Amino acid sequence: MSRITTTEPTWVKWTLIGTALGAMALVLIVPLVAVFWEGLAAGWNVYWAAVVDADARHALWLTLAAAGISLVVNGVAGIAAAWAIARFRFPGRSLLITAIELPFSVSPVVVGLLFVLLFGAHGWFGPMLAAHDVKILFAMPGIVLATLFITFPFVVRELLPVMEAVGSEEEEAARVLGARGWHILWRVTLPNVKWGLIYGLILCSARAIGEFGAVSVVSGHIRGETNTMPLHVEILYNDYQYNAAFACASVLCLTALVTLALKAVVEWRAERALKQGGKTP
Amino acid sequence: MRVLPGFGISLGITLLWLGLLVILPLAALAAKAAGMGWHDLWQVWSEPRVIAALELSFFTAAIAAVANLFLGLLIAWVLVRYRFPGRKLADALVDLPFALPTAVAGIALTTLYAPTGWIGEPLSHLGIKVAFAPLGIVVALVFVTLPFVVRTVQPVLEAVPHEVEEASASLGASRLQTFRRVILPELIPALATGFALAFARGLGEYGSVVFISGNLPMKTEILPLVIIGKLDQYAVPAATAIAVLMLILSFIMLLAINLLQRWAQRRAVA
Amino acid sequence: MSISIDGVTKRFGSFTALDKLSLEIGSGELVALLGPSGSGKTTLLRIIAGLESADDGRVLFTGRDQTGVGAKDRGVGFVFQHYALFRHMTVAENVAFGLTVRPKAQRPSPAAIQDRVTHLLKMVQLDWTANRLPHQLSGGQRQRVALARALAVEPKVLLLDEPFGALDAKVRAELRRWLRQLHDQTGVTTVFVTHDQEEALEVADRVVVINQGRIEQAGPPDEVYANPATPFVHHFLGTVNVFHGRVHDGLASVGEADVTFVRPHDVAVSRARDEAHPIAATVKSVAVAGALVRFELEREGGARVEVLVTHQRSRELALQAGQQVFIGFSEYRTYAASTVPGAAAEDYAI
Repeated sequence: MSRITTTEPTWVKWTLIGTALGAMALVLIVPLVAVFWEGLAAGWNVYWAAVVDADARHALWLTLAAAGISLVVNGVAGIAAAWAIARFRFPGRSLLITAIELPFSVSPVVVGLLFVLLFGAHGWFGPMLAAHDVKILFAMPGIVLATLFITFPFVVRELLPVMEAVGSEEEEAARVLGARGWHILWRVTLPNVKWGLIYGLILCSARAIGEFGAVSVVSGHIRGETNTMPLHVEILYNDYQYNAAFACASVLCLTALVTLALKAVVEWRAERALKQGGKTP
Repeated sequence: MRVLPGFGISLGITLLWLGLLVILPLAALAAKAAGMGWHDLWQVWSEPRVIAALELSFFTAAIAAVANLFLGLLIAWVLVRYRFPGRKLADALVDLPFALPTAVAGIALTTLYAPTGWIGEPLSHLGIKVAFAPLGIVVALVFVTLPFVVRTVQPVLEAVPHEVEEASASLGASRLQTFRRVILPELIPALATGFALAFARGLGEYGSVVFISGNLPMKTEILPLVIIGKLDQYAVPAATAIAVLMLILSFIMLLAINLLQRWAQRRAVA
Repeated sequence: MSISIDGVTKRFGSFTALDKLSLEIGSGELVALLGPSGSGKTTLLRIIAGLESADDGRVLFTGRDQTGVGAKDRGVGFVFQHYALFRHMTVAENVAFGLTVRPKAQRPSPAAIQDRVTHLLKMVQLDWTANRLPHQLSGGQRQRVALARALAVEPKVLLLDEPFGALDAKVRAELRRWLRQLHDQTGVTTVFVTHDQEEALEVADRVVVINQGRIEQAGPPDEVYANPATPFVHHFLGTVNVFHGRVHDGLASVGEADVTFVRPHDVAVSRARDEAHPIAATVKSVAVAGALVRFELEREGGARVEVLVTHQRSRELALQAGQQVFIGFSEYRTYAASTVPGAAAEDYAI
């Protein structure tokens, strides 16, 4: 059914669509194309050599490792936090919600600085770490910590509204039927909120892989050791190795596109699950 | 007695996680700043280079957020109201700036808008310099903050009931009047929230800006870059002072966003 | 198993949901907790189940204090108002859940669980749905799955929260009879919450009327209906005509500090004034109400009176709108006006 009174004339409609899509193409697509174009400009061999370069592979490994740790830690803790906040009322609850969102409003460079203040030579734990010859700053632990901080709220933020929407009735039913805590979590809660959880994890991993500012401050830029993939791209670019830089950037672009595709699929599945599982009157 | 189990352990994990990962580092910053005192902080804040960077960050973030206010509303409108081939793809693509590493965006935009780039070259003939100028920073921030307005406006626009528009039309309002007087007021809280989110992100953005800005002190140097510069000179106290300034700014923005969202919720109920 | 509720109090902020409420429920009884919404009946049910804790007072199962025993360990079957079926599990998995989460030592073998599930699904006549998901079932079918799931753990007490609230009239009537049969077969102590007086009167052995966190009256359905202890119960358990004043020798004298309640089927109508029919009224409308006929009358001064008579009697009277009639009461109860909520209001018929 077309609603005549609430639709614009056809020419207005198509002008608006054209303008919006044109703007999106200019702002979003052209840079994306440019990355692949520049990466392949010097030919397939140069591209491939840049991607399989030992430093590039190490950077990729470090990036994926930091992202993996973030997923596990922020995932587990995110589930715990969502459970505590969605299922219980306690004093300071709304303060806790605000505190969890805090990392979103801290500039990445400031995040890096926070860890310099903690673990740097003159930081709180600096002398102690130096005495025991433990390296956190300019080493992998620092990179992981900075990534953890940046990606901290993603999982809770996606889980909370889903858990609130699902409600606790099924969990109460499981409790009355004699289920223990783990059983409720594994067999009732997580299956019900799995799309929200996966969505949060996708956002978390995308941000972890792409994080630049915070990691840049704490990494020390040691090639083949503490460079993540985005830092590796930066170094190549600043060395005027444009083709190699864009070749590595295109790998990151691919992860971004995969992320978008997964996100779309998960959104679609979650919507369907919600429709099916919705309470009927 | 609580019916559902696991309150103690889940809250314990949450507080431990939050405390170690977020509160402890922020406490270190607060302690460092407190150790400096107002006088020292003020001295750093009033450095000409810092003031110039603050102004630059502020204005470029504001301009980019305003640009996205219009662009975001247009995209949200088209995605919600019209059906056309490729709509789903366009909808998914809106999140690209969230998914794409900012450094990748930074080098791509720099290459495009440099005087030799696909877009920069024609513009340079017109006498417009984008890369290595404040305009370049705006371009980068428009890219990075594009999704905010779209994603805050979209759900609200979807929820505007058709009946309201039909009522407006039946009362004799033209389509443009209906949009301006009926639909737009409903969207204002969402637009304001999207603007604030984009602005806050723009203030702190680093990865996408650092390549395109050129980083000339007093001209195209943004606040986060000043922090990096201070750190490179091992001037940790000065870096801390600027970080405190940025945190204060982001907390003001956070407060504004929360108030805006509360306002939006009240309006939704009314 | 018997249930003793001993002085249970529950507050939510400044609102008192239950006020020192005490109740004994015998083993094998089928009890209805009846009351308007907000009366505290659901809170009481949830406290019995251990889903809510009392601020004061105790719940005992066969003399054993349940305070401090979690919902997990009380061994009750609870049927939620919106069923709370696990939406991602099949019907069979839902029913089996309570058995499969038992510690290994107490868990029946997979084959035994399978048998029990099949048996229960047959009992609720849903064995053909075993592999479906809850969203593929109708409301009445979901309700029966929820019941089978609650019964699977062989509870000593079965608790149902508004079990038929969300269903349409026909399915409701069917499920009521079926719940009664089921209870007679299994003999499990059963408590259900409802705001529907018809449902409570039809299904339960004993009806407990709750209002504002307190018990107004408890007793067998016929007794509660015939001898309401308070105006609230009288009012709540069916339509009443309210007259301000006391009835003397069949004559209502208006204006005294008393209120008289008369049910519509206890109003006698005649076309002539006599000793049994002293009050004048005008017919406003005549309408068929299923098995009976409803007259809507208006007394002098505008007070409305609702009357229910058989079709037979209606034919004898052959009333039409605008006619003058005379009424009297075959049964009525008089209460002190101070005990009737809203008694100061004008006469009204509900």
